[in-house]
Amino acid sequence: MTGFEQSVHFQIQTVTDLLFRLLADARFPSSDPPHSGGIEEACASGWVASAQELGEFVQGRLWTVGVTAAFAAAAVCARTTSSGAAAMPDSLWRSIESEIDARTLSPTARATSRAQGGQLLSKAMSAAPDAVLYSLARATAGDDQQPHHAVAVGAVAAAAGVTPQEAAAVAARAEVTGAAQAGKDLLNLTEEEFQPIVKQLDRGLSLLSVEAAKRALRSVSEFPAVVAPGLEFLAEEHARKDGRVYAS
Amino acid sequence: MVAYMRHEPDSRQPRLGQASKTAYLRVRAGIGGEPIVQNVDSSFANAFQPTPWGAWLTGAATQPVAGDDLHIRFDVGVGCCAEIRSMTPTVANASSPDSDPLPSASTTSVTVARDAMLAWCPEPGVATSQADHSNHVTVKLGANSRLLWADEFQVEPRTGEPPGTWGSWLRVAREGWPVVSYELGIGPRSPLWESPAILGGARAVTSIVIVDPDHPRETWSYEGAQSEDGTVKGVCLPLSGPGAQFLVWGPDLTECRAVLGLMLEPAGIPAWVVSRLRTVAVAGPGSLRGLPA
Repeated sequence: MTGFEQSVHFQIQTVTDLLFRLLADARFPSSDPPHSGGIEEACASGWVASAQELGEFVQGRLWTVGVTAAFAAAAVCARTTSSGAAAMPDSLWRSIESEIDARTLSPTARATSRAQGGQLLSKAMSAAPDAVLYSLARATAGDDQQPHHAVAVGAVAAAAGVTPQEAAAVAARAEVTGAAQAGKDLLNLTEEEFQPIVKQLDRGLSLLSVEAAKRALRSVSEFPAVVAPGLEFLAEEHARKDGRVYAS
Repeated sequence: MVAYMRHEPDSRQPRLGQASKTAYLRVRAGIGGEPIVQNVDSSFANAFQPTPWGAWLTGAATQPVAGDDLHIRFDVGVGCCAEIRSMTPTVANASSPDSDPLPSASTTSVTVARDAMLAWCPEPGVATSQADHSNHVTVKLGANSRLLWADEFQVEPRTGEPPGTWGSWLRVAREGWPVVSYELGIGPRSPLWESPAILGGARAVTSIVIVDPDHPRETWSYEGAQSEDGTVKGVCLPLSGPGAQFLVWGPDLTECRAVLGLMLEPAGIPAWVVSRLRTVAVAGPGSLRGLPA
């Protein structure tokens, strides 16, 4: 390998590495103020008042919105990796987007997901001008919209060369870590009280990401659609309140 | 625990011509858009009884029992305006007091052709102790068609017994694009039923889906409501397309309907829906379908 080839190789390594870090970093793409995934409102209205209830709440998030996110991210990642970006038609991007819309009943939650997806996509595009990312940006720009966060995660994962399973784990994790952390802060939990919740989430995340990757190439209309009325209620109530600490 | 695995969509198609398998009704529009029966068939458990406004959906009082697999199919022709009602709740029963009875399932497939309208407002589903019922519904809408879909269910234990489980799976697609796709379950066999993020252990759910292309997204407003003691919660959520979903959950359906009644008009509900939700088709104050005026 010549010096030039080595340097090119090195550059590609760092670009995908950069994308991977963008994905894996729990602080990104949370906005300022960060999102609490409904937990701020749940604590304020007394739905969640103990470590056990926080555990049930974040498990509830994981197995509803987390499932939708994991399946969407795995689907995008598997399809772009297997077919190549050029073969991913706009209609396929749009059908995955519309399946997420149909499963996300709250307009506020849809807007939050799109805002985060748009941020991730634009950051990723400035880091690595990858064909998959451009294809997604082109497909979603037509409706004057931004992609859902899980779809952007799937695309960035494909560009970074990670597996659909990892993409699913990243997308689902993004749905629960903010809520868990915010819940810990709001309820003043100790590390001893908080650790079992994190461990249970990790177990759930690995189960879920394996399952999502296994079924990633199935028709997107067949993906699970478990919804969470409690979360929809909290998201909308929270959006209409003043004096919020968290963005959602 | 893989929580979402319980209520998978059922891809089996109803087999026409086998009367024992599928209750089937097909209507086309008369001169004024009224339904005219083209084809009707009953199954071992359900039958359609056509009327001038649509049909009664009838079933044996105790159906479905554990192990049953019921199929219902209804097609609304171009420009037709039809309504489906029932006289009794659908009560899912475990056949024997086994500790682990078989699940029961019903699959409903509905198509609404272009410019047509369907109001599907049967009496609610009830799961008694030990029952484990799942209800799969697929609705395909044509261009410019309207839909009112009422999906209500409750777990009703006999005194001293644990409640049963009712799972509801609904998918509405309009010209091939998904409008709503949800899966909701109540009862002990429904994973995470008690999570405050999901239903907080509510024993009754009222879900109303409305699709109306003449009533665009902007005309709906988000509306949230709670009963005075906070046990019943309700939301009106504008869909990403032209329509909205009302979700109310609480300890029983009567209270859920009271909260639903508070939300309908502030949310900006179209008049054709209000009149249909409020019509007491059986004519009598005891009807479950009557909402508080």
